[in-house]
Amino acid sequence: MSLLTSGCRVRIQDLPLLEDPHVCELTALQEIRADEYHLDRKEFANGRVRTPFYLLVRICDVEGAGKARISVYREGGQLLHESVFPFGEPGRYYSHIICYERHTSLVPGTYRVVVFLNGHLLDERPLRVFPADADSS
Amino acid sequence: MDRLRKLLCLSLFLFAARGLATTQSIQVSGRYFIYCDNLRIVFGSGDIVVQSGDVKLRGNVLYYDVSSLRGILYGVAPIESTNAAPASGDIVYFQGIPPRFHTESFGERITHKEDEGLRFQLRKPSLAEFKDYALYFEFREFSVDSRGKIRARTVIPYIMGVPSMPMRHFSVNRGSLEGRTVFYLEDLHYTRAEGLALDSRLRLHLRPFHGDFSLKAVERALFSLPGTPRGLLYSGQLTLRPGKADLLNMGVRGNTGDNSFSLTFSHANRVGIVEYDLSQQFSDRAGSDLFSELRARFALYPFKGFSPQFSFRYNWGRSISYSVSTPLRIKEKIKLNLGIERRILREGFESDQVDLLADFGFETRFFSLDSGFRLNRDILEETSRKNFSVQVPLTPIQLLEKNFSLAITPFYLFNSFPSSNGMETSSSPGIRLLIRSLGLRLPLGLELRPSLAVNHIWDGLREDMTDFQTDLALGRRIGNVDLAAEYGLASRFRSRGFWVEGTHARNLSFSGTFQFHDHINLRLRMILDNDLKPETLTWNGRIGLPWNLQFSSFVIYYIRGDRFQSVELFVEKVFKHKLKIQGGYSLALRKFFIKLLLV
Repeated sequence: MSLLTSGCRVRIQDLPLLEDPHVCELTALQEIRADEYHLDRKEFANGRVRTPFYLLVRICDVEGAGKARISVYREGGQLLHESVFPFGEPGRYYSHIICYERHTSLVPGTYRVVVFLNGHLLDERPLRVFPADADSS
Repeated sequence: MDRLRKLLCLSLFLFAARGLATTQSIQVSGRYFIYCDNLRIVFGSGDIVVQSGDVKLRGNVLYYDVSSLRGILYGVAPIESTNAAPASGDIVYFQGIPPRFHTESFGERITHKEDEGLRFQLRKPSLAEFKDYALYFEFREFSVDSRGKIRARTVIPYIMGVPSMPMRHFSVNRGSLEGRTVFYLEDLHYTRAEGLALDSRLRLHLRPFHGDFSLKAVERALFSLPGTPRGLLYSGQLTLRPGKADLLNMGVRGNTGDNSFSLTFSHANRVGIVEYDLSQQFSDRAGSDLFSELRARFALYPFKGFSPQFSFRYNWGRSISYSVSTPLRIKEKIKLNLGIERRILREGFESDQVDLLADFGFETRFFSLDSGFRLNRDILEETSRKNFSVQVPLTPIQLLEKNFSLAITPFYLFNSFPSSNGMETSSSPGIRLLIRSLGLRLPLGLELRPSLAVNHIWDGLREDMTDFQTDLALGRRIGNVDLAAEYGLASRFRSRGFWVEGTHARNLSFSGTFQFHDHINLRLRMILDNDLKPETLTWNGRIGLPWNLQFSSFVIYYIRGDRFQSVELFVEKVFKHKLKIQGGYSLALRKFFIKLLLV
């Protein structure tokens, strides 16, 4: 690699490297079963999310200790729900951390899920919750 | 001194143009960016700075849509802009060059600043989605101009997931190609019929010339395949367009394999009430004479609904024809046309014929009428033929919520033609019926889809006959299985001598189709012969397997001959949306095979 980069007059330290934390997954699941090493997930049929559901966030390339925060806002802008997940130890590197929580009271509608890491907003996605009797076939 | 002044002005102009060009782009720097042309989205992470004109935005995570020049930046620091009030937030939405922006902060409520109408959704692919494509780029900095062209710095292209040589500068997206000359490879594929074929395309925009050419290079000799060893097939068109209108069009098509070509020059325009088009075509093939034909058409539009036309065609030294027609349309309901056409042939034999024609038709709510009269005069043989036809289609009748339709068309034909017994005439009235249903529900969950066409004619008022075309499909769905029986019969009835004859237009067949989501699709079909004995069995199957593998099978078994006519069994997998590997058995090739295909 160093031969290649020197041939192109590109320094190795200048190469693009993904080393900053970023959200690599934000999804709503019907069911999660987790033990110390495994996480089994069951997705909603046709992708139609219905209450109750699990909200799962995976943040990649995280270093040290910190706090992840998942906030759910109404489409109108009011904060509905907020959860904080402390994690990690100083000086250690984590290829990813997974946070998840169960939501049982969200009525059908459109929401915004916002992910913060150590106070900085990392990502935000819309979430649509369908009525319980929505077609699941 | 004068020359120095000119040089100074030119330098200033170039400097201003460069400055203008600089403001017409967005510069973005950070620690990591990834881009894939299939998604047309840039994802970035780590100390991101977006700068354009006097606007400077800072954040940690970026999604940027190159198609719409819109981006979302997360984790935003205070925004620097000389023309806007100080702003800050957790998210900034920005759009255009230089960007207009809108910020949002997430506390107990979401608070907005600046232009709230600027909030939008962007597709946010995961990193795995980017890396699933055959070609993607990782880089440290980039700039985007108003055409969507992305110039990146410190770039690593990834080809089929493998990093290739890093580059200091590279255009990872050429931007909008509208109005630009480009040459590109469209496809590369291999088949036994064509050999290795390379498809490419040239879009030419060199004012005043604009063209679009398709080129296909074929190589067979290298793979010991029969046919022309190699060749080039080309087709396309070139337009001379000095202003907004086309002055001259040229169409070209050729094949070096059989030394054939076709070249057509054409020009069309409208001047006042006169519309005209002229064309000259040349074509040739090895072993044949050059074909050359001149065509012209003039049309007048003196008032709405009336457009007399004159057409002329001259095949150099062989034939000439010209025609005049006067179509008249009154209130879009009544049509009338009178015309004359003359055709002179000098190709092997001589012929000189004149046609006089008159057409009349009208539409009402319940029926329409179309009639036509032709008088043909052979000037060399001094004979004449006449024919007249009229048909009156009644408005189709729809029943059972349009599931059942009945269309009735009475018609009449008259012919007068020369024979060895002098002039002969024939007069034939008739009626045409078309009965069709989209599906009738029967007991036991069966569904019947019948279609019946009846054509009755009193041929020359001497003999009458009735033609029937019957199609029947009977089906039932049980769970995920569709069962169907299909049959088609063409038959004729003559009342004289009570003669009935019929043939199987479509032999009786039974089929069963099993479909389970997109993973499994199986179809078995048995076709019976004319004596209602099983003749052929066909099988189509496609099953999705783990690891994105797919098993496909295609079998034709000839029952009466007790042998397989075709067997194709193979497993295939597509890599990175571009490369397909197939492996299996083919009876046509009589061997097992492994194929590598670009898709």
